[in-house]
Amino acid sequence: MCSDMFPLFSDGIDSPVKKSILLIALLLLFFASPAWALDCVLLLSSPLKPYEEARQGFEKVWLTQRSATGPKSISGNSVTQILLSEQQSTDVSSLKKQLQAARLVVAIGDQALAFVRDLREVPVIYLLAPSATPLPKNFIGIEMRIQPSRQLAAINKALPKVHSIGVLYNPAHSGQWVQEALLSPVASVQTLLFKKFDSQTSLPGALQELVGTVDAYWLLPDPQLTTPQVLGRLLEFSMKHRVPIISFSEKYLAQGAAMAVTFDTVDMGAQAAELGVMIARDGLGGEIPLLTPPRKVRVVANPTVLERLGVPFAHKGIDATYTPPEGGR
Amino acid sequence: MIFSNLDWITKKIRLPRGYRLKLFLTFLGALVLCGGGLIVLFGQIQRQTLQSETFNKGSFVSSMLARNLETPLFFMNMEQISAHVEAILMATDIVAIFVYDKDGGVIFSRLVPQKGIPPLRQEEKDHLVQLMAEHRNAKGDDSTANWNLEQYFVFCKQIVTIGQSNDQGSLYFDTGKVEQGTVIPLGGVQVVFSRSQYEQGMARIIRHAVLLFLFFLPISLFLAIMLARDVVRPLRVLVETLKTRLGKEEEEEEEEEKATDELGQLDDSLKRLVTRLDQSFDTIARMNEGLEEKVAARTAELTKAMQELKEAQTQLVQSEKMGAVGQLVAGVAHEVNNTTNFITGALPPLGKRLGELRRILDGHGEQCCPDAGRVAELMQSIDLLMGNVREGARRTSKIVTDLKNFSRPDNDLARPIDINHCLESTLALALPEYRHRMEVVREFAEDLPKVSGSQGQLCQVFMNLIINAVHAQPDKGSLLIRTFSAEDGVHVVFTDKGTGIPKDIQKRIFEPFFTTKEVGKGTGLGLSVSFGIISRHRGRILVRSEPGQGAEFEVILPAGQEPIALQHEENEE
Repeated sequence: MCSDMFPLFSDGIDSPVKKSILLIALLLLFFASPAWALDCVLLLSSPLKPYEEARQGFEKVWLTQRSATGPKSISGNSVTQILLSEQQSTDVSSLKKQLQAARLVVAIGDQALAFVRDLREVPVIYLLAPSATPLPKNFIGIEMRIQPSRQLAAINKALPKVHSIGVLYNPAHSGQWVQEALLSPVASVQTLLFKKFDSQTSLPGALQELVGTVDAYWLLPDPQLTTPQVLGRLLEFSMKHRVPIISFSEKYLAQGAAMAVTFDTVDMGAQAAELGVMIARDGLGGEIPLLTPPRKVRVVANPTVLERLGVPFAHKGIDATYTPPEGGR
Repeated sequence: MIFSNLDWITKKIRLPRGYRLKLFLTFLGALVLCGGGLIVLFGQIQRQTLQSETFNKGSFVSSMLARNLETPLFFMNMEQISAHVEAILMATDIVAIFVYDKDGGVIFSRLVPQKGIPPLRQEEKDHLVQLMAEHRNAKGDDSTANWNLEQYFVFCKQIVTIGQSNDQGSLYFDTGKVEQGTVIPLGGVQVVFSRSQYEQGMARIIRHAVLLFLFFLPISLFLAIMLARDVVRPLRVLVETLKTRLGKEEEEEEEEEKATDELGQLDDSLKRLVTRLDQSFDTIARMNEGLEEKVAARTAELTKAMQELKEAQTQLVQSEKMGAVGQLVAGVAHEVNNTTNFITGALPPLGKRLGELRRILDGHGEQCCPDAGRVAELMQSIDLLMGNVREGARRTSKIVTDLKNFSRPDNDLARPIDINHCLESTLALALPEYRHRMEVVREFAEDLPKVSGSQGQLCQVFMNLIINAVHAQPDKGSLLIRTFSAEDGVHVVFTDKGTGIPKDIQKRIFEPFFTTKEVGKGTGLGLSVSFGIISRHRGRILVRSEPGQGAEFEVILPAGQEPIALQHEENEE
């Protein structure tokens, strides 16, 4: 059987020639890059909790999947984790060589994406990278933005008594998102009251215009709206006028937001793994879009704040509740 | 008078004096210094604590106010600024609060008039603006205090905010890092405190310190007295003990006059003790120097005394033995004498009867006895036999007399005797015995003292010794006779050059009937009789001899002309 597979080793060849060929083959194998063995490289920016959750979600799906053809159809997928924040600067070149030789690279976080940005031959899936700018075609990303209609639907499900939602936005930063929200079919159920602001100093005035007209305030992912002063003012507004703040991240629950409508990081990892399987199966350039929204919306409520503000909420519309850490912050 | 009264009072109420006073003053000084130092230190710590608290309070108030004013100042909300400032003023003794914009202009001010404190003058306000500008230019956000104003403490604090973060991730996640954004100055806050509270606090601290010192002073006095007393007490006991050992009250008084305190007295006592010790050691050293010689001398004396004691013991034993022998001999002599008396008593009448018989025979001639020849022959034989009997009786009487002399000497009265003369007489009597056989050498002391005793008995002793010397030198010999006087009496020494006396028989030669002569030549009574005579004269007779080197007899008689009572035979018959 061996002779059939490797005719060079058939008995018809002279023994010295056979030995020379065998020696050359071994030498070639010796000088070959060891990265050929890497199936998938998972590059984490740092050991942040959401990154870890995404990694776990990815591995859970990736390691159970098998390729349809090739050796991986027998042995199964493998993954090599690399924590970028622990890498020495001297190891960068060797790490890049490893990444270039991998079948698939998954970059979690902005730093990881920046590190693999110059990869061209290897398919790259990135996620949890809010700073992602237009990338080459070998980059497949899962964006962090959830469509406004899905968010509004989740809000409606969790806070059924909320009918009027106020939003402050900077047209330069969130104008497109506002347009999209206005076109959302859920808007027929909920009234969205958008107020523009140009600078942070004009924000109190814009906020004052929302008083008495909104049941909730929707915090958009805008850096101008998350500075301590603006957040303080928003929270003061929330407390003073009993208006719950619905944020885009769980981060703001600790500061006083009533609810967070956000993506599920574990599911986002699993989504990346399924994309990876698809890439391994079909290759790039198929039906896989370059940017995919997160497929699952996660609603986390801060019941303490909701209760104190007197806003009823539906438990069935909530995926998790925020529990403040012991000892406070 | 006054001084004597003071001295009396000091002794009566046992006030500290001398070394105790020094100790008391030292302890008191140390305690007061320590206490004062501690109180000063305590006051200093309190003052620093108060300063620190004042500074911390000012820093805290200004920092808190600055933090509270961030949002109002960011949005230039004067209503909120005023509300925060009023909230601070309610709880503190702040004189004034000034809020500055980012350009250093005063946008809000609140002055609080306080009792006893004049309102801020315009120049002071200008100075405060200048201080704030300096603080802003220092590019630090820490509070700084300015102590230059006479009546106020001033704390300045910048108010800043962080611009939006460049890290998009931090928008969604809590990265655990301080968000790095642009620091945007918003303005500043200036809090002015009155110094009156601080100075009141300082005055309170000083007052407490003084009160504490006044409270500590009597305690220090008491402690100093107790300490001085406890320290001096064992010293006093030591001094008293030394004085008792050294004795002499007058010396103590002198020393007390010299040394006024216990330490001085102890020093003097120790010096005296050391002096005495030195003297004692000198004495011991001196005694040690002649000790060995004295021991040697005493040992020699003891050896000599022991030798004399042994000799005395030997003589005593000899005397006892001779006394016992004498009693025995006296009994035997008495019985022999009685028997001999029959013979000697019968001899004269027997001679008388034989004379009558001879006359009868001579008167009758041949008629009475035909064999006249035979009769004459018998008579001659009877005379011869009578002579033998008479001689035997005489000899027996002589022996008995000698025995009696040995055991029961003559009852002669003692009288002064010239020993040299006695010797000359004896030598004259013994001349036939030694004339051709022995040379006699006389070494008589000229001024020999007389002795008291019986001349006949002493001559008999000398005769015995001379005859013994003759017998000890059967061929030719010599005899040295020396007399001399010594402390213990008159010595008469007879030295011959005969064969000597063996050691083993030297102790027995004074026993009666002990003789080394052939049978029939000596009775063995000569030396024993001599021993008895000399003993009765309270003298001694010694013998010294080495075999082959002759013998030496020494007679020692007590010197003196006083009559001595010789022992007499009481029961002589």
